[in-house]
Amino acid sequence: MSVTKFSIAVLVVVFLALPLVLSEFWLSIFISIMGTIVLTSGLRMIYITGRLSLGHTFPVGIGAYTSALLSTKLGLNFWFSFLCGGSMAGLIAILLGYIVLRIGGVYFVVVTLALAEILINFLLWAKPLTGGVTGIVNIPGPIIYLPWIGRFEFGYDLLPYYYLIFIIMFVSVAFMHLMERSHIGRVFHALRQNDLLAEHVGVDITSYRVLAFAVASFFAGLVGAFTAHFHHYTCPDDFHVTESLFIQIYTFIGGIGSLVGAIVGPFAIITISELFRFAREAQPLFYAGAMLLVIMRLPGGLITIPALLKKWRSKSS
Amino acid sequence: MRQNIIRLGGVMGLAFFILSLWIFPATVDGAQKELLIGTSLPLTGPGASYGIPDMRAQEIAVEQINNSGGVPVGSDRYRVKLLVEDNKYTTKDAFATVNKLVKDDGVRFVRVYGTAPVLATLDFMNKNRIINFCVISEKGLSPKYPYTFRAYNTTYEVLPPYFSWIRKNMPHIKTIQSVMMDDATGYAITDALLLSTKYFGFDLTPNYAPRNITDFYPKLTEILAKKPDAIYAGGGSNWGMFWKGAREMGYGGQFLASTFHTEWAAIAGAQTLEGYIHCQTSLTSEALPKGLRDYRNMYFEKYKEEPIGLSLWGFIYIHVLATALQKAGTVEDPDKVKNVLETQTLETAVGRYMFGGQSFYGTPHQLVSPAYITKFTGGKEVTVEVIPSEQVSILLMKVYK
Amino acid sequence: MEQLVQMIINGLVLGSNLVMVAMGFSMLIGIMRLIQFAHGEMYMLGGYGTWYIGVHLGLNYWLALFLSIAIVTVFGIVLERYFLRQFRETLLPAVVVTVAWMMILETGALLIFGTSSKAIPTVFPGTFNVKGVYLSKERLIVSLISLASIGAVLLFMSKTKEGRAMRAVARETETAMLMGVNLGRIFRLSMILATILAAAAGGLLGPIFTMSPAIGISMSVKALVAITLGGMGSVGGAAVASYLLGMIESFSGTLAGADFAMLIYFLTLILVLLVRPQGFFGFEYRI
Repeated sequence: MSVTKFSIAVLVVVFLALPLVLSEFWLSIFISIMGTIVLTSGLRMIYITGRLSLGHTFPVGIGAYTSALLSTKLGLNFWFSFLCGGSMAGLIAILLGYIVLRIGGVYFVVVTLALAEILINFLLWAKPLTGGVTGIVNIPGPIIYLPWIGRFEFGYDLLPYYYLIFIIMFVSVAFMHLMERSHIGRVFHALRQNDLLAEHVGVDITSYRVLAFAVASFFAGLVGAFTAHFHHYTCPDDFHVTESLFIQIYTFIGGIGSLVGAIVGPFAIITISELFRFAREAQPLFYAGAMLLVIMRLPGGLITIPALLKKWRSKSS
Repeated sequence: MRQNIIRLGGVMGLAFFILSLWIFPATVDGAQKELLIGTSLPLTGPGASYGIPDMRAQEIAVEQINNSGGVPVGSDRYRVKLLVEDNKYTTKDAFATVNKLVKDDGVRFVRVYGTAPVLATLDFMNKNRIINFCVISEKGLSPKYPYTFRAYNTTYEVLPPYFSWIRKNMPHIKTIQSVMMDDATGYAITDALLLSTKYFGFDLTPNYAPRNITDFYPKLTEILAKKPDAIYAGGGSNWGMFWKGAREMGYGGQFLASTFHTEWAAIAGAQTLEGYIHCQTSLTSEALPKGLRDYRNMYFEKYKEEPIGLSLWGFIYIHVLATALQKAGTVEDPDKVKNVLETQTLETAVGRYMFGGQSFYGTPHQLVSPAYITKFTGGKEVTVEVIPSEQVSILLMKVYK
Repeated sequence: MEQLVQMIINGLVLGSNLVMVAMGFSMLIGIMRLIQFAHGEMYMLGGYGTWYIGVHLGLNYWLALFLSIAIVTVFGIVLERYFLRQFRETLLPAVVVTVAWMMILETGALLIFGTSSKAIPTVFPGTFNVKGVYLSKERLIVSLISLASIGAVLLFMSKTKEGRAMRAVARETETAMLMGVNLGRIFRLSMILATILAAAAGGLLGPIFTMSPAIGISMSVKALVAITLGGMGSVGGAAVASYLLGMIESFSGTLAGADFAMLIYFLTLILVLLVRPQGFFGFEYRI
């Protein structure tokens, strides 16, 4: 077995066994970390096609509200609304993508910010549909039918959600990894490096960008839906624009050169910031300080640490 | 190759070990009887300017109780320990912190601050039979949530006595324009306004302004065109600009509100606010029981700034809960405590309180307190009338039947 | 009719509030190719500084304003030299650094100055009333100062040697360097100008609005929308866009609902960018 496959297996086992030592608080933190990992991986996928998004809460919010409304107003079960949430986010991404992905550079960044803001304001304005600022309450959790046990309701237990989000994360990240490894991924990278050349060779650059954008948005919508059902509540405040900024920051701090960075980023930063909860009002100073430290000293992100250590050790020997 | 795997395993094992030291649930100190009370409020982000004073108010009350020997329950005396968590006014953190308090720390009495955090955790609290006090400006309470109480006046509680006083003492006022923030609180306040003004025969037109408004001129332009007898408004401490703008634009009518921020006087100037009538008690008012005035002094001494009026509820809540536990004779049985809260009059160290609101909420879980009508005059807040709790209760029943 | 004129006046005033911060933001993007999310914090600090020196310590308002601008600008110079300069021409790393600083400054202000909103007493009391249209004296003066600052900045950029050098660096950095322009000095100068504008805006608007630690972020977002609409790198464009946005906010704030107003705000931005990707006056460049 190769080293990579072995370490992945070890990590999977560790993740699966973590609930044995984690408190309920840390369980819920890890659940949100895993959701964030799906988001950072998606953002990275958009990044490698040469576009930077600072508005990823847009698809997350679409997924959350679509799923919440389908469950509470139409009584549909979790699995169906969950998939609808992701699909709606993906669909809207395709429609909007063809329009906005033509814009590039810093302008595109601002457009994504604007989209995220438009979503929030729309949710607040369309009160009869979305509940306005109050949000949607009593969103039911998933119900599954297991062999021997029969009907099992997730309810307020955190453990089933932990394993569910783990599966979602695993599937999403694996899918995006395989996509990047395939020839589609090669086109993605080409777009970032020199899209004019790609265009001249006959590649439909906008369609490929839309593909990346839609895939990332689909998975983001799934995470949004999951989170709404996990908390049993959602409101426009959950999709604040600063959250979009943070997701992109986690991606970069982890190391945008590789998908592993997108996994390490949220895990490291969120864990560190939670460890500083005791600082109460001063907590932001600590995680902002950590972010500064990393960006100043480790331009490649956290995943460059092993390589740097190796260089360090070989220098001193 | 093998070396790398071993190194990787070693590093991960070490990380695992360190992590588990940090994040293992804390063990409970069994030396002295401890009563755990929890609170989840916004200490960072939006709402921090409300959450931080509220936290401090609770801490001051807890210190006060512990200094006088703790809470006597049955044959034991309990030392109160307040566990504070930051919910950042987001669903995610409210959920995480409440899970921590209830499942990890084993707290059975929790106060959750903020509309979104409360809504996110109501169901969870009640399923687990946690006595929870919510701070939410919407209606919130309902028979569906038997363990949820509120020790905090929403506008539903203060407006009936307020408008009854205005109807009696200011007969020239007929039309009112209201301006509230375009958020949950604003909508709830407007809802309460409509109910009370209708009952007492006022003609009210509601208006809304954006949550993060800084410039009030556009909105003022709109409502001053209607030439109302009185304007009812109120948001955060920066709304002093609203009153200032109204006078700058030539409005000479009556200012009304249910809250008052001390910053408004600094921002708008004493002259602008002359004659302003509101129903929030000034914390230094002589009409306030001594125990509550002491709160303000203790806060000021410790933090060198004035506590916001709303933080008083954090202080009162701790005393109410402590007295209820004393009367119930238990810190374990939530149904006994619930019963005491619903049915008994509580003589606390800072005044007499009872819960009511059956007719409006369908369940008697709302704290009933006296109403203070305050006028801002000569640069100071002066209490012009105190309406006792019993009369407030009657007015509430009349308006909300 | 009066209401229409009032809405126009309110719109112009709202625009003036934004213009100084937006111009500075535009300079940083144009000359330093840096998206500075913490720029709004300079505005916030300028306001708080003026409050602290002018109200808390009780000194004269204009002295307080001057000192506050000076202190914040010194901070800006240090920030630029050690934290921002190396992230020029990058997008994502710049976002990380500036957002981190945004949070540090906001939390710092909350911890140092406390949780209550601060207010500076009016410097120019009194209101003008022309046939039912109201304009307070202080708003008029601030608007005039903003207009004057636009003129000053544009004059500076076109007539002075440093100004021309800044524009050269904005257009073609390498060529400018080859022609003997000291890049480091130009960057420092841009930061100084931008910070002076932002801090001054904060101090001037202090008596009109109140200050809380959170005003930095909302100002940054508004300024970002303005400079994008006006065109990245175009200082004049940022000014025009600021007034346009002020009008939008004024009209929709008075006529339509609040959330609808913000919807229009951002939709305008996207629609303009679709038609004209570089904004009104921007020039295309890639980061």
